[in-house]
Amino acid sequence: MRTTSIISILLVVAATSACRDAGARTTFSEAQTVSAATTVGAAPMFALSPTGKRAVAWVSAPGGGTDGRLYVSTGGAPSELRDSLGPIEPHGEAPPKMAYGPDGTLYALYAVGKVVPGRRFPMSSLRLAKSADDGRTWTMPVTIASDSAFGTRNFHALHVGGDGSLYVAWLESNQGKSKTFLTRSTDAGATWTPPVLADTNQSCPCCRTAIATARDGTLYLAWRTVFPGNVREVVVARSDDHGATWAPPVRVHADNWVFDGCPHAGPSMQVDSAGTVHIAWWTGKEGSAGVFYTRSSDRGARFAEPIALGTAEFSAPAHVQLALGSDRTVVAVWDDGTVKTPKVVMRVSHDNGAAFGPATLVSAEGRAATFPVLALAGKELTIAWSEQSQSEHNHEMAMAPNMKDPKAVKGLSRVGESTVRVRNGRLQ
Amino acid sequence: MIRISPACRARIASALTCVTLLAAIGCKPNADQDEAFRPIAVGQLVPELTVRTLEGDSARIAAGEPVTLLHVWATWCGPCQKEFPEIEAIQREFGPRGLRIVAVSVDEGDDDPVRAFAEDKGATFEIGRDPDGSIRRLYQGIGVPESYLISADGRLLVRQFGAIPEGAAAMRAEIEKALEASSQTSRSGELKRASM
Repeated sequence: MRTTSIISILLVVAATSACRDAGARTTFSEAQTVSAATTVGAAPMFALSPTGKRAVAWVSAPGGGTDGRLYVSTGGAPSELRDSLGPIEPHGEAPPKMAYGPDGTLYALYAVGKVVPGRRFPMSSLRLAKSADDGRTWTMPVTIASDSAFGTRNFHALHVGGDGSLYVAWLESNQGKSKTFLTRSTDAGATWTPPVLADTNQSCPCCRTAIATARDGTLYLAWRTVFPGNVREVVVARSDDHGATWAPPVRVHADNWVFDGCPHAGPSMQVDSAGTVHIAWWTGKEGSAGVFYTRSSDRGARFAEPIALGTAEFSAPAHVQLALGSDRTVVAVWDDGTVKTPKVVMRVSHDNGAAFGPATLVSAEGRAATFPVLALAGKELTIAWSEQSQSEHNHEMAMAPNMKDPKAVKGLSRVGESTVRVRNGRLQ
Repeated sequence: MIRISPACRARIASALTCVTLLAAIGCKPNADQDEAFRPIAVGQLVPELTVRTLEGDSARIAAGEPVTLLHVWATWCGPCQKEFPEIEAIQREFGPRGLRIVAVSVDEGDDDPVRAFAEDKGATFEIGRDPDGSIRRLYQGIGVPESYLISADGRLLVRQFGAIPEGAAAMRAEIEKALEASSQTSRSGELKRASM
């Protein structure tokens, strides 16, 4: 009997230790509503300064309307950036992007929408502003990569290379076909190279792009392309001359997902100090739908067999973000689309992406949490996302099917009822 | 060497089972009752849905309504723009025979851009509005465009994620079948009433 008890106790201890190992490697603070100062908020984004300072940004509008403004905070009250050209778009898949330069300059790249007289539909413009004081004051925004203020540029990415070069990528539509472009500035955004087409093939028109650079200056660009038969796969292209020319893009994995539409789910990509390219993405392929991760150790020529981070038979579009630590840590966060109410989950690898620990829930149960972003400085982790309460979610769902009066009119909902939540964590 | 009796072995086995179960439940960080994301399947009854239309009326999508092609789209969606003439062609071909098309725009904001788009494309079918994305949650959709062919008894006949393939041959065949089935049901109902 005594032996049985000892063995049982040992087993329980072993089991609980295993749980602690798996689930408690990250300790989190309580979530805070970073957008409280602006009542509502959406499309969050982070930037990490060379000294480890974190700036968080989001878009809000008076009354949750459409007059979007950018708010930036490094811990205190947020500062506001308005653009005289038009409202800043609060688009979760095309949020404002921020990055610090080596000298501590903070750059913000965002899309402005505007109804242009004589045109039936709003157009968009990519705008760049910079701040020398962590977003408290901003320079006059400038239009990126175009003589004309408005076009169809969107789903942008912003990256600052190790040499201080600024890179901006985007999707642009011409006669119904989207293509991926990139431009570079070597003078802190004062002038830009002419836009370079990364690939002549058609790009999926509404999935965000991603840029990363290796220590040696090799530039990588990732996006979702459209292969024949409307197969929509994520590809990575490499440039050895700072974006002037591009090698043919390489498919990270043959998901074979066919979809002639707008899924709004682009990839996330990072390059580590050894030059390994890490990439995560979502696919809607039935039977194995969800979020995957893979890496390439030969400069993007080939990618390893992907790891399924969170998949099921079906998945709504999920938006994954990757961050790399200095100690072979890879962190992936995404809004899990395999469940009806999306929630933000995280998985961590401590061996440079060879294997990942189990999923940890980051957002609150019962709330619809979407479009997470993360910043990782050493062991310190910050994750932000857009959130909507379950009651708001349920209310919207209930309104549509329960309208019995055939003449009832469903009122327009306010734009931007969501809030931006932030949670700090520490990797153990 | 520890000698373990059969009774003791049984107790260890039970303890091991319990520990394994505890570990399995406890280690799963989100062991909740999350309902899986699962798009509405062919053959299922569609959830009752009423959408506001641009005309200020409402369109009910449920059992007891005509055979309906529920089309979900947005003005900013390239494939939707390309597909709109096909939807209009289906309307002109099958509308007079009883097909109802409800094309629901999920554009956020006010109606003006949606109205302008529909006018520009010369749409003669009903345009619904769902700026909250309720349809996406109810039907568990992936993105836009999406199309759902729904029978008169409220069952999903076709689920099309993405644009309907050019020519829409398969969709047209399904619409034919649905309209035929619907008219047969109507005829048999009329015969029953006549014989009473």
